Amino acid sequence: MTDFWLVCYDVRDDKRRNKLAKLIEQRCQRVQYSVFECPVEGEILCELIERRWLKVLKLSEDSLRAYPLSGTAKKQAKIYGSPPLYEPPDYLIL
Amino acid sequence: MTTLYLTEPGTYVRYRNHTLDIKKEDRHHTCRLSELDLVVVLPGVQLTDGAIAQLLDRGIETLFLRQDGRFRGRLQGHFHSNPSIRLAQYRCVETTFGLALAQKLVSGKIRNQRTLLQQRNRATQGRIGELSEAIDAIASYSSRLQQLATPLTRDELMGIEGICAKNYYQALRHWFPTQWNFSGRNRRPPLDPINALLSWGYGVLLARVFAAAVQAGLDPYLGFFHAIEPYRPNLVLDLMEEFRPVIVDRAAIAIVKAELLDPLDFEPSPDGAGIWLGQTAKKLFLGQLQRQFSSRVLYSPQNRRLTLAQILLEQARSLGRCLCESNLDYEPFLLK
Repeated sequence: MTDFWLVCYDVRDDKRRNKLAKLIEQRCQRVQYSVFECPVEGEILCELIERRWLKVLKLSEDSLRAYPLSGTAKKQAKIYGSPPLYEPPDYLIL
Repeated sequence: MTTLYLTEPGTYVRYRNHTLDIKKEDRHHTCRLSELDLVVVLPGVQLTDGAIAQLLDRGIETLFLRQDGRFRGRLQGHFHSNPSIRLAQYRCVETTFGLALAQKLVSGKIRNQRTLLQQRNRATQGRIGELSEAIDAIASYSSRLQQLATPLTRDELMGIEGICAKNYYQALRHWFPTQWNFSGRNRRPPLDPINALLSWGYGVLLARVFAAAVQAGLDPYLGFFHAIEPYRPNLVLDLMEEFRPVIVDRAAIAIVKAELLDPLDFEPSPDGAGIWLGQTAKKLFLGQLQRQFSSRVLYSPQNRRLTLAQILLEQARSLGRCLCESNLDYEPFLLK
């Protein structure tokens, strides 16, 4: 499975949405209000979604989607405006 | 994966939602722990108990350096180590086998030193006499070191290493423009900016090789060439020999060549005797060193391209295997 994913959600309730966003941000980079780019292996992402993220949601009202971005798909992605496609930095000197 | 360098005094690092939250005055950064594999901490940085606990529990290598770049220590969590590697190491210390290994390690270093001078010699089309003389001198010792059938004593080995180092550092000045006043190696304290860079770089390299040695299950303090001098991580000094020219010397050459540094980026050491890197120089040079560590080259034992940081670890593991199997298959990593 790919190790780069695009995750997005639609959550009605503010409280549930904030809770979910906080969980997703533990492993993924927020690139739009409800869109995240995730440098995470597929198996691990599935575990995270099924064991943690879904617990916050009410699937009768909310939805969550994860799309794999393989190497070529990632390269072909069209991105306008910031931020650029997420890539963990090789190094950070602070 | 990300390497995080915390260089600024007054930086405050805490743990928050699986992320390191890094604050300095009004500047604010975050770094996701799942993407982090190495943290290098300079003096004056505060880590909260929560941050330290996370670094330990997740096994994220955390190295602490002193103000002058020397290795101060590292975080060591609960770790799984294979005692048989250490036992094999103890058995080999001060044996003929250990000395033969030492000979290989020194041979790797001087061959890489020679390669670095050769690159300069080619670029200057052999017009600098001192360069070609140093290259020839090192070559003659290098062939002596590669004859393992007649092993050298430790004194002979130290003699050869010393002569080669002298020749090498004197000739190395032809890599640097004359305004940097580099004429050879001096240290404790370094007396000119290039020596300050080299000392700083060797400190960072030592810290990273120390981590690699521990990860490979070796005892950092029991060496073969540097042997069993007290109070020194002798094995780390052994293992890093072949990487000094490859990583640190090349980083110093590259940063000077890129004209990123100004003599004003250096400052007198607190006792006034030597020269230290200022805050900007530290950051710029850490960046250059990091680019060396992450550069990919062919690692011939595995016939694939690895970063130099990965090769450090592979070389430590390979040494561990040689000790366990009592064979002399250790091959120094050679610059192409």
